[in-house]
Amino acid sequence: MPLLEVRNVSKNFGGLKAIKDVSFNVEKGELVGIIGPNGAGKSTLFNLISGVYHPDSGSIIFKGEDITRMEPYELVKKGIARSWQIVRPFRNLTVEENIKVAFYGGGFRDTGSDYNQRLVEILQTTGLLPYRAQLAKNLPQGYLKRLEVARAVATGADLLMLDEPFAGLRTDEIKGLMSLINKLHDQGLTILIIEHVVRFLLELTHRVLVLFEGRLIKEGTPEEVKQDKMVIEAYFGEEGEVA
Amino acid sequence: MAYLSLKSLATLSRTKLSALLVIAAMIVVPPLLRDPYLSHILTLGSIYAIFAMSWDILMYTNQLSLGHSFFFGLAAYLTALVNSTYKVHPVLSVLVGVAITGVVGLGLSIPFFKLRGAYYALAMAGLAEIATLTVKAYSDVTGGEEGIRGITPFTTDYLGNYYIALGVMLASLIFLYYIAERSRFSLIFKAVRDDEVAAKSLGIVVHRYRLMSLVLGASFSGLGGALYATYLTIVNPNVLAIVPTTALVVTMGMVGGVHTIIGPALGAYIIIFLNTFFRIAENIRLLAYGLTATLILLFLPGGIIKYLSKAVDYLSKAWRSK
Repeated sequence: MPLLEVRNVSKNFGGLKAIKDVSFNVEKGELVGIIGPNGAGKSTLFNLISGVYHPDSGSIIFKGEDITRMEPYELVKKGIARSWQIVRPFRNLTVEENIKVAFYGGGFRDTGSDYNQRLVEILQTTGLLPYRAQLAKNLPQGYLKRLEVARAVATGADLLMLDEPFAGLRTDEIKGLMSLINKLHDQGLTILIIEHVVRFLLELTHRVLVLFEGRLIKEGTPEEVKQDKMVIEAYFGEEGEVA
Repeated sequence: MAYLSLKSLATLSRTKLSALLVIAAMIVVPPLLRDPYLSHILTLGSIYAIFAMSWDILMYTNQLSLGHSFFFGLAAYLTALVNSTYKVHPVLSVLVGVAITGVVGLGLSIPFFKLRGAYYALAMAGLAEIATLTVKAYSDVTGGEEGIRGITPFTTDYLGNYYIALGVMLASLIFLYYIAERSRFSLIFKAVRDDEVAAKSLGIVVHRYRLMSLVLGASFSGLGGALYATYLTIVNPNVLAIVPTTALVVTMGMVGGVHTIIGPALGAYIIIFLNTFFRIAENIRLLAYGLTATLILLFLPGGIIKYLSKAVDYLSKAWRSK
């Protein structure tokens, strides 16, 4: 049984068909990327899976359960957590407190040693340990992106959804974040990423879905996608090359 | 972590110490002075402090209540009606007023929680306005513009009233401060305030916490209103009206310091005091009072409590280094 099944999902905004009959599966332990040019519907698809929007038709199944109509906070309890492209830290809370909120949200209310151990573990993995007592509003952009990931992990999610984690970062910051994502994947998390910076995504993921004008036009390994004629046309018109 | 908690303990005890001194003074000084008028001002201050804290607890989850007089006035009228018309014991009538107001707050969440920001604030204001007009219109029950008189008070002794108001105020302060600043809800309130969408996406059931603060805000506002009615033994439509009552509570909150619970309580005493003090110049009273409040807001942004705690810090440091 796949961890996540998206079945014939469509979403319209007024007359605009943002997502048209999209279906795909994500297996447990996969690291999957979704790419597509601007306006392809990547963010909409993400918002549909994470419960921010609900599809007009089709269904979304997680661990065999229909989650199509569930709200974001219910989905967190089921094991889906997401980050935001434009970071949304709790600016007036410290890094540590930001993560504690995610603990509460995920249903961890223990204040015992396990709890603290988990807190330090997440801070360490995400490289935020030196900043734990700093207010989020004082963190540089690169660390805010890490905080996004740290909070999503802290909810205890099985499926981590990262919304353009590399947007707005320098190459060295992207490299650092990539190794963090790899680390989390090695720890057993299933990860779904949408990304605009295609080069890094193809390097990172094992399987890539390509969205174009609301449709899934290609699904395959990074190698296959890179050479696909339809994908190249979607990005560059008639001639060109991905990445 | 260890050094953090030690540090916070040190500042806490300093703040606690000054708070305890203030409370001790409030308990000891009035009976020594034997000044009914001063006691009256402070009793009103305590009642409005409860009201101001109840407004602040709503601010903790970004609910700007520009119709907060609705809850205050509703409870005041309910208490007055139950007390004077049905001759129910004052304590019981206060409880009835508060309980019904709390339930009304709960019910209001259904239409109001679809609204955010300015829309929420204006809808609240509309509610207070409707209530004021309704009370004026149904004069056979509510006494219209005249209001309701002859409410039985807890006691007619001015010191007795003073201590009742002070006691209820302190209990409310401790309870609301604990909820807002010391319990596990504190972090969640702040998170919801910073970014509701992010909180939701991390599994926080945001409407539960908004509901919690609305019910607390309504109930404690009601407690203030019910005490007001039993203390003054009269109510009139002004208790429901945006001007003066909501305007008063918003000023108290802003002057004292929003999102601190203690600040708005302090602001209440200050505003009541200013309001009374300027009676020495009756024809410019409102002007002088308004001007002072404006100056405080302009030059002490963040409220008096912020500067007061800085001053306490500064003084204790100066004292130590000596």
